[in-house]
Amino acid sequence: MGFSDTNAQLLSAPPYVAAAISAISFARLSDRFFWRMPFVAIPMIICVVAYSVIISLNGAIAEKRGVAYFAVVLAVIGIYPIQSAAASWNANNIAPSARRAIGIALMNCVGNVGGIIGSFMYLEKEKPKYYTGFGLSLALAGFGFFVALFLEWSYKVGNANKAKVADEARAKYTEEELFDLGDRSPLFKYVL
Amino acid sequence: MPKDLALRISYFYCASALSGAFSGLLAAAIALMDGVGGLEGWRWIFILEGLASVILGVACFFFLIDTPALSSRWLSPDEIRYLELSMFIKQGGTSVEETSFKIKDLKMVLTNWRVYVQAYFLLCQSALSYGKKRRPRKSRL
Repeated sequence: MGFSDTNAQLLSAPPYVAAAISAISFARLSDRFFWRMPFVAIPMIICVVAYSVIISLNGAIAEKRGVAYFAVVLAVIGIYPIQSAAASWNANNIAPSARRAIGIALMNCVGNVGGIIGSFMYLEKEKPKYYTGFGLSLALAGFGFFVALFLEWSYKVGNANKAKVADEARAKYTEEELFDLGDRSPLFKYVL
Repeated sequence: MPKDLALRISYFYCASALSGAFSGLLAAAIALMDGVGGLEGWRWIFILEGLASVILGVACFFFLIDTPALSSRWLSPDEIRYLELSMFIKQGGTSVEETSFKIKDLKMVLTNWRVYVQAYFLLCQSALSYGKKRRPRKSRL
């Protein structure tokens, strides 16, 4: 960004502190309301705004370093809460615990593919604008907002369908069978 | 309890964020040891940070306790009872210990399409993280 080495080192700490505060605040609110979707969707929107600002700088990062720095802080404020909200949303909706453990691992496996995308999307020849990298980030986050809404809708439909057959299921299955069905049991309610 | 999960996970990842914030400063400080014991500064970064990781890793074996019942040295009987009851409720009112790995569990999770949709959020998170720095990220967890 055109700062000296020492300054760059010092200036790299505050965004992480902002990220930590943001992650904990969003997580606290999410636990308070026991509602996960908004705490994935809102950070996605924050990311969209942040990366829009970065792209609009058109590579003039050194000239407008104040704006650029603000955008980076905004970006990490959006990025960090996603992990805790999504990871707990996923874990809350898998039962029993053996399957939850596998589900958390699977989510991490598939999700880390993002690291591969991330490491290849900042192309050397696009320096310093990095349209592909920042543009793809913008697109991923924008789509993520709609994915969160879609997932919320799907869990709601799932809960409605389960409610219809809940009484029937109580008579039809033994307690052990219901436990074995885990999150697919009609008595298991998805967390939204 | 499921209600406390987001906050706990966020504490966990905050540690990662804060290590990102201070790892550069720490490394810069250790690099000043250049010449101590006839070793270059960068060697000291590897030695000291590696040593801390290894010691903490071994300590985990002793300090990361499996169940509340085994934590009698630092939890009161009331606290242990509270944790055991929370686990009992979380499991849907059964105390069945699931210890064996069942292929069926794996199948049920692999065919759960919502897990893959959830994974998209993490994919976003890890891809977006690259925008804020230009060096490869250390692997998470």
